[in-house]
Amino acid sequence: MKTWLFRPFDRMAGAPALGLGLLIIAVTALVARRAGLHTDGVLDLNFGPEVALWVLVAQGLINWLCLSVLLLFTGLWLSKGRFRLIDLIGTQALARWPMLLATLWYSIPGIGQSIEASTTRLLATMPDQPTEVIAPVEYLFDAMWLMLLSLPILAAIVWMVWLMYHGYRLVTNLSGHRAVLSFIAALVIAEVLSKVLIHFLLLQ
Amino acid sequence: MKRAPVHCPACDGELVITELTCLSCETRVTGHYRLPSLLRLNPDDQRFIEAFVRASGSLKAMAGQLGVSYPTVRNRLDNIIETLEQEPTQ
Repeated sequence: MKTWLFRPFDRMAGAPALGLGLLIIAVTALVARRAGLHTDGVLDLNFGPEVALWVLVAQGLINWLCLSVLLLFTGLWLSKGRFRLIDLIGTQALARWPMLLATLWYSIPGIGQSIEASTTRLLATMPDQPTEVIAPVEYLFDAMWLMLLSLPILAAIVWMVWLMYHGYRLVTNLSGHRAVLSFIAALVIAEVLSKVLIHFLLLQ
Repeated sequence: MKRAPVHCPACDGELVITELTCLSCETRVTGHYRLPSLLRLNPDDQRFIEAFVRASGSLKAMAGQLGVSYPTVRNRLDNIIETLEQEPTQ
């Protein structure tokens, strides 16, 4: 069980992982549309305006491809052994499955609305000047409540990043600092790149 | 059959063959002969190489037999290749 949760790619990679991963990306888009969510970045899950289903599917595909392509370049550059493209893109697609759990959490009746309402209330209290301080006690409950409701989402995103790293490390057979640093660099660039692409290609 | 030791039980150094005996006429040959590099691998790696040969060198078939993914098997093979490459040449 522990292997399937945290090291699933020891058992599954290649075409089966790719097929299942693409299915998960499509289902995530479907659930996100019902809950009014956008996956507008490799690690992002936000509320947004209602858009067509294909836009949300395209967001998922852009997120997956941005990271996969960057990890492919770093893998080809740093890895001594050979690896298969299908293993890399398959593991990266399947690694996104915790994002489906996060969207499901948002779509539980009451949870999404509560997060959205608390966020709106807290944003409304933000001071105009950055030097001013928000009244801390008055909005403490909202802030605590928002943090509590967001914890499962944060856990899902951390889990997703771990799965992405595990897939990259396994497929390229990299280890140590080379694996960690190249993965972090690729992830940061992919996050920026995916946000830019989604903004200009889909949301403008 | 007993497994041939490849490392010294006292100091963990490399063991070499110092005597060979003909099973028919009992002629004995003495000298210092290094074990072939595959025999110097640990037993797990030796079993892996045997399974690899039996699977006609198909990593995909091996992954299916072992119930693991292709990259897991590929990495195991890469690590064995690295070990063999680190062996001093005879």
